Amino acid sequence: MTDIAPTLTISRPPAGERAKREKAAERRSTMILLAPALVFLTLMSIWPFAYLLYASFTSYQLAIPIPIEWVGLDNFTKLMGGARFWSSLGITAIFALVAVPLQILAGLGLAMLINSISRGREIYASLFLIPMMLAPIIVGFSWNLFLNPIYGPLNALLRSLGFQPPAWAQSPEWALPTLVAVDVWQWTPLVMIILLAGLRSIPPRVFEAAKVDGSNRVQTFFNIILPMLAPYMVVAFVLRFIDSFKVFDIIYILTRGGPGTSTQNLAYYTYDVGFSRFQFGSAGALSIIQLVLLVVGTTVILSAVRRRSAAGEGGSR
Amino acid sequence: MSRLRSFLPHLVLAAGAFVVLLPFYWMFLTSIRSPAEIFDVSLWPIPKDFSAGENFERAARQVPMARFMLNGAIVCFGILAVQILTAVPAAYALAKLKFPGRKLLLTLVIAALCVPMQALALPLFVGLARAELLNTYFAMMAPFFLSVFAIFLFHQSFRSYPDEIIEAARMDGFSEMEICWGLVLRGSLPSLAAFSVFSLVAHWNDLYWPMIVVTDINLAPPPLGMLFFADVESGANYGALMAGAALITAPMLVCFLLARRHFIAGITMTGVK
Repeated sequence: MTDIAPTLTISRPPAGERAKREKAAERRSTMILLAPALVFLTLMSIWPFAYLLYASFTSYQLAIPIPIEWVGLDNFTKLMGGARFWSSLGITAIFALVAVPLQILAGLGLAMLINSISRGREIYASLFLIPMMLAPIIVGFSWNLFLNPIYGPLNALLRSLGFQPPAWAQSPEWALPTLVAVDVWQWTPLVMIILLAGLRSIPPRVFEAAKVDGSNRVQTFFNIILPMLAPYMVVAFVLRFIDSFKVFDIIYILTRGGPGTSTQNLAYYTYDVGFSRFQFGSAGALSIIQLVLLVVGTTVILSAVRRRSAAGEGGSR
Repeated sequence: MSRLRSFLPHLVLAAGAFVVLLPFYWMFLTSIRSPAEIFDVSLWPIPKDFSAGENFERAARQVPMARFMLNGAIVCFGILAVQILTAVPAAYALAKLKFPGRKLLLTLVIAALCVPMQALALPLFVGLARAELLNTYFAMMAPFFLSVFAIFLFHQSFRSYPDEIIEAARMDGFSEMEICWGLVLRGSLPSLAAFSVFSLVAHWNDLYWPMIVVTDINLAPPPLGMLFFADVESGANYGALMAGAALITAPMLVCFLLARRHFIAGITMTGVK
């Protein structure tokens, strides 16, 4: 690549003329570079979003051929008047605010453990990453089988130990914890890898300095490792927070939102309203609500982090 | 004592790996066991009655397993090719060229990163239905033709490409397209590999979108095919179902093992700015 450098001498046209022509050419080539992305961004993101916004204020239903009417905020108020909306909001919140922090904790533990060993790091990291490569439907099937109340190995083991194990995904009390556990199982590896990268980025001399200063393991963890890892934890949290709103496949396979509607999150509810009953107005409103929650949630997290790091000793980095 | 101390993390990690991989291992075990052994809960890897042949054969006979895999490959590689074609030039322009609205576009890209597919599924479905494109490969691919994640990832890695080389190439009369594809992308091959693995895995595994736009079993990618299969079997024959599951997992596992380093590097890159 560097062999281009010596051939730099070219005769140049007058400066002003050249600058103008170059500018026009540059603008043209910029447009050509950006055009494909802009076309698809408009077609696949901006237009659908505008349509969604419009649909959420109308009585649009595909199944019933009634004229489409402007209904204002009716879809929103009707949704918020229903118990099902609030319960599915609760389930989404549990995935975002219980499952995700559990993933961060478990990921941190695993990353610290892997970082502490000198040989075989990559083997362990790869083994732990396997759940992430699996299709959620496969995850659902294998957990279904593993947790099967009659012939699943887990319950057989628990029975032989004298417990009376529940029917996990089929039981009213255990269905949700089971889904959360499966989500944590599948996505902890992602957090682990991000935090491992964070740990690797801390220069060893920092630890040596801490040791010289007489800081013990707990102090080192809270005063050095945690602050230096904070930016990575934020990235992991935001990534998982956004993704937690999308949990659908494992619910569909493991519980179908049941028993009843007890494990339906907003994504599942939207799918049900939109694609089983084709009530596009309500589904549009539901989608808009999810978007607003995501944007607000992400903004709150990021601004809280920014305030914290501004308040701390001028930021940890 | 210090020996034990250095051994302890290994012990915990090995136990952790065992627990993490248990359901997956169980899937594999079931796929090679006979239906009679379904009540056998031992973890011993060699079944009394080795039935892998029957199970895999049954999976292949009941549903067009090969067809599902072919569909999956067509959809995944189709998506990946267009994603690279659209994202690379845009990322290059955002990283290395100055133009009005650059900041705005970058903000838009990051905003689009937050919008979940489920939210946009409805209008996209309506649009494809109106254009009478449901039940086509195109319908399964179209919403993913632009990956904002790809733009983001490539933007991050293109930024570090030395400006002097780009300047020199311009002086030599290279067009921006040639610089973008011939020089800058070539300097970011690890990112390209990382993104490819991401994209392939995500779309090979996706159930949600194909479930919405495809009802024709002959077009089903693997996860949707598995859903059809599960309905056909209705839980009666776990062995065959798990054999099917193992079949569609294998390509991704191979893909992962081959590109493990790039995959890990890719995840890391999204975090490190």
